[in-house]
Amino acid sequence: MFADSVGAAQHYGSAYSMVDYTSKNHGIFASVSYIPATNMTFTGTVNYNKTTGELDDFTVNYEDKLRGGLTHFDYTFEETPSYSDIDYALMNFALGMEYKFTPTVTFTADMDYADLKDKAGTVYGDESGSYFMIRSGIRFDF
Amino acid sequence: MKSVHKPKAWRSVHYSVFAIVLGVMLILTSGVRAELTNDDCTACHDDVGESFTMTSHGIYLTGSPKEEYSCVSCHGPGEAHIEEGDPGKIINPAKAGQFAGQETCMTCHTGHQFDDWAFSAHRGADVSCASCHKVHVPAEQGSIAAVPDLCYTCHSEVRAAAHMPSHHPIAEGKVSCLDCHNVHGGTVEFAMDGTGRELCFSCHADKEGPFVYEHAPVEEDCMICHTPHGAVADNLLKQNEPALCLNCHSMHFHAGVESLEGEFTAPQAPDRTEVATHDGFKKAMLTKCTQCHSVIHGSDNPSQTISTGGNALTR
Amino acid sequence: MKRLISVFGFSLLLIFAAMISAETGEGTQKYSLWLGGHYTDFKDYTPKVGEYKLYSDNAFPEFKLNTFSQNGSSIFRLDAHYFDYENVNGVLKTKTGDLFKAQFQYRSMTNNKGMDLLENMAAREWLGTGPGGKYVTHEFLDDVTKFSTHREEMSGKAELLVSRKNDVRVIAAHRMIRETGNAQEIGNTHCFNCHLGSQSVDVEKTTNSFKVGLEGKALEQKLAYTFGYRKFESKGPDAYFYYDEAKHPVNGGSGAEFSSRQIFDNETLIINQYPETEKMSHKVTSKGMLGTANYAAALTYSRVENKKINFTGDELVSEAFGGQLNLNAPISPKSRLVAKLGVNKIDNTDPFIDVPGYREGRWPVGVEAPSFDFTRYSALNRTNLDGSAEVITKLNPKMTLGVLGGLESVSRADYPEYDGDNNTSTTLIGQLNFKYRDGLKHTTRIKYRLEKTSDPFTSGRGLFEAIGNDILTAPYPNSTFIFYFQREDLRYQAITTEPTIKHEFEFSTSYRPNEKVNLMVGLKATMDKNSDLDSLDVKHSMFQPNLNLTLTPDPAWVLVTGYTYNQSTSRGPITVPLFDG
Repeated sequence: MFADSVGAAQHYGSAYSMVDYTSKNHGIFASVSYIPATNMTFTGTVNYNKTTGELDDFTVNYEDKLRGGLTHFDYTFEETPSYSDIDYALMNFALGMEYKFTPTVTFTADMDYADLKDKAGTVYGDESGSYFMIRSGIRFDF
Repeated sequence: MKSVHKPKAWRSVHYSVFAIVLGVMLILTSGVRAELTNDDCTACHDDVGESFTMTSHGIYLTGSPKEEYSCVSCHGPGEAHIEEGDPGKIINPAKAGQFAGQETCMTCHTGHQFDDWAFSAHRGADVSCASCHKVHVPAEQGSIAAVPDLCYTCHSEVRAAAHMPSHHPIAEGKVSCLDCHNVHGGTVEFAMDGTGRELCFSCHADKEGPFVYEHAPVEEDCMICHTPHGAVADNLLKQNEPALCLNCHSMHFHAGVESLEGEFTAPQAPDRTEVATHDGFKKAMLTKCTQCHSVIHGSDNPSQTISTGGNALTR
Repeated sequence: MKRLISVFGFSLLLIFAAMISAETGEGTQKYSLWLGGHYTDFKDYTPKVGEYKLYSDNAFPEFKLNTFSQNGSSIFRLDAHYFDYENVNGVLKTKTGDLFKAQFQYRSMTNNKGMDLLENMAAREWLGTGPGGKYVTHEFLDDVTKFSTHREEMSGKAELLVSRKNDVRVIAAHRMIRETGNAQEIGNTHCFNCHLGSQSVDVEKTTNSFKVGLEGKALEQKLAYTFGYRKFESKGPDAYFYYDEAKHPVNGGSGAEFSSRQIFDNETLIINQYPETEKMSHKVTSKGMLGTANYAAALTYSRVENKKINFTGDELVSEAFGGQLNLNAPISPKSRLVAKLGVNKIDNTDPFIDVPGYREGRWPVGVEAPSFDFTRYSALNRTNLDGSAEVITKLNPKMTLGVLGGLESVSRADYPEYDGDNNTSTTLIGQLNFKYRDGLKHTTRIKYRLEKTSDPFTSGRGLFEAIGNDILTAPYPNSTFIFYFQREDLRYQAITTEPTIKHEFEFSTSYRPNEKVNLMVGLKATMDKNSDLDSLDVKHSMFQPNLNLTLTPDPAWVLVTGYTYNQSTSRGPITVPLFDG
């Protein structure tokens, strides 16, 4: 016989709780450009982003009659909200400079740095990491 | 005595004639002023005049049949402005809103990319052409700034969103605001019909279907689950899983199963030895629903469980 | 080969465009070539911080080329940037008066994805006295730990004036998006046990879109016809997964009982297969003036078919018929009406699903066998109707007020809720939009929008199951047992967390007292709730202030800074079924 018997497997309905999910994001941005001379330019950019997302703690309420024979089940959820918490902080920092040797030849150099902090890693583990890029070159304008 | 009075009468007549002639001259002169030349304007605005030939308008008009266009074509009659020097007495499209400034540009810019401008959100919000475009600049510098920085000047919250943990690669320069938004109104290039989801499918065509097994909100509106510019959760989801899924679905019923603590072996697959905690089933069922329900946008293949009619979107 | 042809064609067009732009005459030509290189260095976990970057601790050559030339009405612009072999961007725009206009673009990017460690998938049931039969395990079927795709996009659009008489133009556009690389595919052998397997699968997805159109003027109106085509296909290998034999996880027995829960048994099957879709559309538009009013009207038809599916005698097709009319009419020297009306009807084929026959023939003798076959009714079958009218009035030289009223309606046919009723969502919209503009010195904008919805979208697989004992004692005809699928029918009740009322508020003000300072302050806030749910306090809110400051103390310095805060809160029910099985 391939049915689930009433005695062996029970069904009692649903229990629920109203729960808040809150995400917060702070984004700060600044960029500066400085031209000390006609042949020289400096630029800088900072981006900081702090993001959190979390589910509030909750308890599901149900009448005992709903639970019935499911006494070996555990309907408490103390730790559950933390499983999907998000807590990232991303700092991005860039600097650049240009120097014109002549009106047609310009030297450029810049760097870009990003650092991500993950305080609530979930299925991917701790996602904290950093990236650094440095670049230089010559520009010909004609 | 008569000789004394005669000259006076003579003078009166001549004064009158002079006054009439002067009046006529003034009228005629004002008529000439209605056809002000660019020289009248560049007498004061010499910097604009000198650089105008290098502007896109200047290059376009020079030598073309339309070179009769002049400053007054955009700025309107300028006599009062010239007479009084009052900046308020000449049309400045940059300072005018949708009831004046935009109309000036649209008299020439009639290409089909502007066909829907009249109904666009930008026009409705009283954004003017000069909010984004510069006119008296070298031809290659026609925008106030490059996209996306240009868009961020008003939509600064999008800049913040583009740096959130999950984002379309706008900040990386891989996706442009213009890929999704037609700033002059109308649909974007490769969106094919009028459904709200079509814009997303123009790039993410694998999500369109039709599928045998559907996920209802995918058919409804992508924005039920996603937010396009940036999001706290992976894949541009409005909330992290499972909170997002639990908005519409009850938990998996196995979430209530109590787990043993410590190492265990799967009875019929002893190589599968794992370590569990007392809330192991909750961790499994309440961390990331799409680990199992992986084809969440729809599938053509039935899932394993009969109870959903194969519609659990797990394969 | 196709790529070579595309590159060759692209090069020819590039040369053609360059020749056009090289015509003599007054104008401007500017060229900028940047030659250099960069070095990248990654530390710790890379897929997140370097989601769109080529993961390599290495040095790369890099170049940029920017050219711009304008001769009279001919414009040529090329911007190219080679960052590394996976991140290249090139855009070419050219225009020859009103005769020819074209744009070509190639861009590519890296997209890294994290590896799901599946560490949360480890549990075995504890019955209070000993282990039970339910357990969750996982394994990695290969040792690939990095998942990344390379996305390339090549697009082109050309517009050619064919006849000046009626301003007849031919417009053609093409875009190809190609993604290659590998992805993590996870399969689940529910439900003899819950065992997840992870494997790396090669990805090769291609989307090709074409658009060809003809437009011209007749009776002072612009008329256009556009044909659109899009095809998505995956040429990558399919992923396969083994689906267990139906049996009790501990003692290996009860195969028949476990087979009551599953469609497959002891089979290796394709998982996570991509569809193959082909979409065609036809669009007719008419734009121009009706008296003093601007109008734009469109009729569209589209048909998308999933070619991977071939039911006996059936196709899996979705058809959409749409119409749109926009009108902008002056109603006085200081006010205008902007009205929009759209209708869109979507019909999906409703295929008959013949559930695989594993279970058939295994039903007990003497008991009427239930059929698990069914007709799939699509949630997409619907008629959308959107209409709005906004009166925009210039109150005085500095103030503009927009007052909008609108209606949106979605009538869903054969909506797959368990009660089987049709469902129509109706949203009434009211909006006020005020703008104060004092030249370039000061602008303030205030917007308020109210949306009131009756019968909002309800997920076909809802939140609650009924209190089941009473109902579940009613067995299937001629059987004394409660079946697994019967409980599934009870699990869901139509309820929604979508809002019935929504308030949106936007405020922004910018102040530019002089050329050196520009301050902008803004606030966006939304609040919505479902007032139909007496027992549930469902609501969502968003609060987003922002502040931006631009300082130019002297011509040498420019400082731009800003801060944005966003808080979104969503209150909904978290529901747990009290359920054994």
